[in-house]
Parts: sequence; C-alpha cells; structure tokens
Amino acid sequence: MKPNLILILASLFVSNLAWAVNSLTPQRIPAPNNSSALEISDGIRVVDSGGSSLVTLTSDLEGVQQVDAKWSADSRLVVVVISYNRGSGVEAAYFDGSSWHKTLQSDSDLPVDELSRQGGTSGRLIAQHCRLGDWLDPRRITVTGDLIFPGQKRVAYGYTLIFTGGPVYLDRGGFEEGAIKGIGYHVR
Amino acid sequence: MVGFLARWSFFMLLIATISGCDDSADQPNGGSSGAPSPGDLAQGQQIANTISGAPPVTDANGAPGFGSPQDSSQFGDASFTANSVAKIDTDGDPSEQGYDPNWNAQTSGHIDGQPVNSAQYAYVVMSPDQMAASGAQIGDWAQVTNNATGQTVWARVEDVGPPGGTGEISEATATAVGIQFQQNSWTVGNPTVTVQVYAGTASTPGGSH
Repeated sequence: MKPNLILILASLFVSNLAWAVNSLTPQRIPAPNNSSALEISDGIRVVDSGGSSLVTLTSDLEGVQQVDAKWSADSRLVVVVISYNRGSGVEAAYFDGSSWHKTLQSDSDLPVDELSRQGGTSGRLIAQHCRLGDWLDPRRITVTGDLIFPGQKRVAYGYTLIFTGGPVYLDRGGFEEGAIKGIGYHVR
Repeated sequence: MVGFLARWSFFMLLIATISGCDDSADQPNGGSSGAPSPGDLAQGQQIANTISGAPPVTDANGAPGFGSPQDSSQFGDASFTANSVAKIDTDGDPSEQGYDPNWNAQTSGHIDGQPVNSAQYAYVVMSPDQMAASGAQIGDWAQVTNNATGQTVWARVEDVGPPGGTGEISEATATAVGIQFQQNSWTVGNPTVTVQVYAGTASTPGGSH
C-alpha cells in the first residue's frame, strides 16, 4: 500500500472516529431559564434542575448519528432533530404551564412530491436530512434540509416549524401529534 | 520509541478497522413457523440469485438471517402497519457496491458491530417518525407479506430511512416472499407488501420453535 493511501485512510479513520464520538457524546443543554434541560445520554429526555426526567423523547439512540436541539427563549418549548444515516425526525417537548408533553412532526407534513417537482427531479426518495435554523419567535423556528433522490440528485428545502397548540391525538409512542407542523415549504 | 509505538498502535488499529468490514458475523438460528417453507425460500432464492447474483442464504433452517421469533404469542396487535410498493434496500450488502446507485455501506442497526447485510438478513426500514409514533425501535420484529402471493416472512427493523419510507425491505426479505429484483435494486414488476411491526419485541430471540 502506498504511503499516500495509508495517510488518506488514516485521515478518514480519524475524522470519522472524531465525528462519531462527537455525535454520541452525552450532552446537557439547559433551558434559557435553567429550570430544566435537554439531556442526551442513553436517550433524549427533558429533565428538571435536579436531573429527574420530565418527559422522554426516546430511550434508544441506536443508529442515531446526530442530535440537533434548540430551546425557545421562554424555555417552554424545545425542538429536537434526530438524524439517522438516511433520515431525520423532528420532535419537540413543550410545557403547558402544568406538565410536559412530547410531540413530533408527521411524515405526511413533508410535501416530497411538490418539492421534488420544484427541484426538477423525481423518483424514490433515498434520504432526507434536516437541521434547525433560527427562532423567529418562541413558537416558530426555521428548518432547512435536503432531499436526496436517485443519482444523488439533491433538493435543498426550507420551511418554518410552528407550534400550533391545536388539536392533537396521542399516538402509540406517546406523542401528541399535531402540536407542531411545518408551513411555507420551499426549495432553496 | 514512544512515537514509534504510537504510530504502530495507530496503524494496527487502522488495519483492524479495515479488516473488520467483512460480513462474517454469525447468523442466529432461523425458524420456520410463520415463515415460508424451506422449499419456497429455496425457490425464491434461486430466482433472486439468477437476477441479482446475491449469495445464497445459508441459515441452518433455510430461513433468512434472523429466523422467526421464538415466541410471538405475546406480541399482540401490530403497532405499525403499512401497505405499499416494495422497494429493495441493499444497504449493508458489500456485493451491491457499484451496482445499486443508492447503496450505502451502513445500516442503522448492527450485528456484532457490523452493518446488517441486506442479502443475508430479512429486515425492514422505517422512518424516524414511524418508529417514534409506533413506539418501535431498531431490532423489533416485523412481519412482511407479499400481497400478490400471500408469502410471509419474519424480519426485524434494522434500517431507518426517509419520511414515508414504508415498503423498503432487504434483499433477503424480498427473496423470502418471492419478490424478484435486479442487482441495481429495481424490483421486477411492481410488487406490493404489507409490513406489520411489533414494538417492544427486539429482545425476543430468533430461532426455531
């Protein structure tokens, strides 16, 4: 094996290792008012100042490669993007004044066909990833992402995730679906 | 001396990482109850091999990869059910590199630290939303049915895909339910499958009854 190839492989190995360790490193992200925090360890949960769990978003991080989370300024809403190799899920925990609840963004929210049409591509969606942008106010946050289609055709998109506070239904996973939704989807 | 040892250790670690990328992980024993008969599987496999060139599944009982859950009587109702067009996920199958343009070396689930080989293990793909909403996790059992033939096989959730990713199944799953596919992962025809996932069943071992 040529020395250059060894160096390249070594660099890739080190960078991958560093990335993997970084993505799975336990984190504690405090709310702005420090009354609670998002804890990422063996699972993802909101805990109180004493470390007791208030609501668990997931208790299993197998396959998770990255977690992106942001608290609203009023500390009542935390939005979390959980990313796997080929897909990201958007979840949130919110405080209604008396207790904590969890919700998620439904797959049906994402207008894949419309975005692919606008992006000039089509076919089977191979992968999708998204990440959190900036808060517009304590109930609205921007999200950007990429849709990957056959041939590695990429459609970059964006939208605003809003906390509706509207009607919800409890799914089997304990999430109150409908409390958050995306609006203003567009190709970037 | 210290520098030499550090470089040597790093190099050995690198070699170990590279050599660890084979798919020699032991396969759990397979079962047959609730799964297609060995004859069905052999026939399906032969068809798939002709088309895809995939290596034969060599489970002790002729069932693909994980076999069948040892006890599914406690599973109850499926926590997630979807009926959709079958799509072949070849991820984790090294032989597909260069053939399937959407191939990925990694799967979200792992067996003995290695990606789950699509050609050897019957697995299904769910989106993050589907998993969270149904309470399913990596490793949970799922039943996959070919809607045209009624052939059914037990599989596990071993990969996580994009939104609406229902119907994505591994090569071994497709073969077991008689779905033919090309090496570029395209299915022959437009087969549909029903996928039923049983949350909280990951710890139930596979094998024969």
